[in-house]
Amino acid sequence: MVKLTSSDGESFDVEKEVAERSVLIKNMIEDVGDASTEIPIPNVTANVLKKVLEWCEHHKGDPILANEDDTDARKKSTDIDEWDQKFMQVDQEMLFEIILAANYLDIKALLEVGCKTVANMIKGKTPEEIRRTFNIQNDFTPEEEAQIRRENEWAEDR
Amino acid sequence: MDTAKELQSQQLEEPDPATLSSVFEQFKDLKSVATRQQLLNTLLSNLLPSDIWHLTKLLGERQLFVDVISLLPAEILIMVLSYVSAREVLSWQRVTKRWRDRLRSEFICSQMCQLEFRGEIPSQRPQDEDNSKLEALRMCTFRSIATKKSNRLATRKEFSDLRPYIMAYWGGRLVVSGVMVGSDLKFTILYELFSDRRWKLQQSRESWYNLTCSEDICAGVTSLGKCKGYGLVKESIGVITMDQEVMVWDTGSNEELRTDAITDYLTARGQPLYRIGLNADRELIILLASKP
Repeated sequence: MVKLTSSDGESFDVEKEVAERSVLIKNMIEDVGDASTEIPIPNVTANVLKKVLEWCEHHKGDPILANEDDTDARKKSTDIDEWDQKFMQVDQEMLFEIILAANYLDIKALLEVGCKTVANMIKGKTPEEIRRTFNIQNDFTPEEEAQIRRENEWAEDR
Repeated sequence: MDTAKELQSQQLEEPDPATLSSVFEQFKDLKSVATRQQLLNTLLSNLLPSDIWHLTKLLGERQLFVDVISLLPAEILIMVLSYVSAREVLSWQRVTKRWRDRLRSEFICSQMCQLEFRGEIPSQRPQDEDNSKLEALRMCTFRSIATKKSNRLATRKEFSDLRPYIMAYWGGRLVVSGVMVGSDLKFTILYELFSDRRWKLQQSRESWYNLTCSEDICAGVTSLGKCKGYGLVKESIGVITMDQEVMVWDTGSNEELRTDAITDYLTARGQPLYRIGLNADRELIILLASKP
């Protein structure tokens, strides 16, 4: 077992295999050489860490995604498996925090799920629908908006 | 009897703290999203109107919305964008000024460019050094088409607007580049790298022809003094010669380039052939015989 402490001081006892979904934690355990040492996670609060660990627990058997070079960057599929979809049904603040935590903790697969979730929230929506999704005010004047529309016209009509 | 009743109602009002905390702990430890939601549904259906009012108030105080696109660190934003077509990202510029500025930033544009152009560029590049310059070239081209007014095809005017950038990136060497919006709006960039000995060309027929056969390009090429733009045969082929090499492309007829037609064409203009054929990048290369 590994003991992780969140930024707000809550401790979590986690199976080593689960904690090691995080490359950061894995490296820390290796560096310390003693899995029983308490590992501080200073950038992640307890409620987020708990959520992240829930994901790690469910995915503990998965093969670790290789940190392949982004040279193979291509448009990728946004399919998310069902469990992950349910897992990501959280408010936007939590989603945002999970993404940041996954990035910090270096959990590539979770980071991907987070990014896909965000992409799926926006994909295929009109600017107005996007504003509604994120509760954003439109700060363009109608003229400015039309201007951008004109500028991007070449791309928007096929 | 009365005492028992009283006791019961009291228990209802003030439940055993231990029980309450154990229920609470049990709920806290529930891992499955589905189970939690099921419990919440049950709870909700048993709420009093005043409970619901209170809950609504609590939720209203919470920050439910986060403008993720504005707040995510750039390198993560790029991951999000990698799941979306560049065309969509362009339309996102209309959401707010913040989004517009963010999505037009140099970094985001260059990264988008990399995502969009990946695979469009021939893998056999002469040197890594050229690759990084290519990236820069593509970046400035993408930025230009993404942020400036444009028709479906980059116009010659825009193209020449780009030239100073291109010249800068290429240390003063001329690079001819065109932009075409392809069928799926993948930005297909057509480019040539001009080196002392050789043109590299990602060929794309019609638009390439339209751009490169334009008079200003030919004039630009010719003005370098190293090569000569030939009177380009509109119906079939365009030819630019450079020292002893000639780059030939067809103009969208989608027919195989007929080498004999090219041979005839060049011979008629006093340019005897030394060799004609495809190079490793499947570009047609014609070497002219040295002039006496």
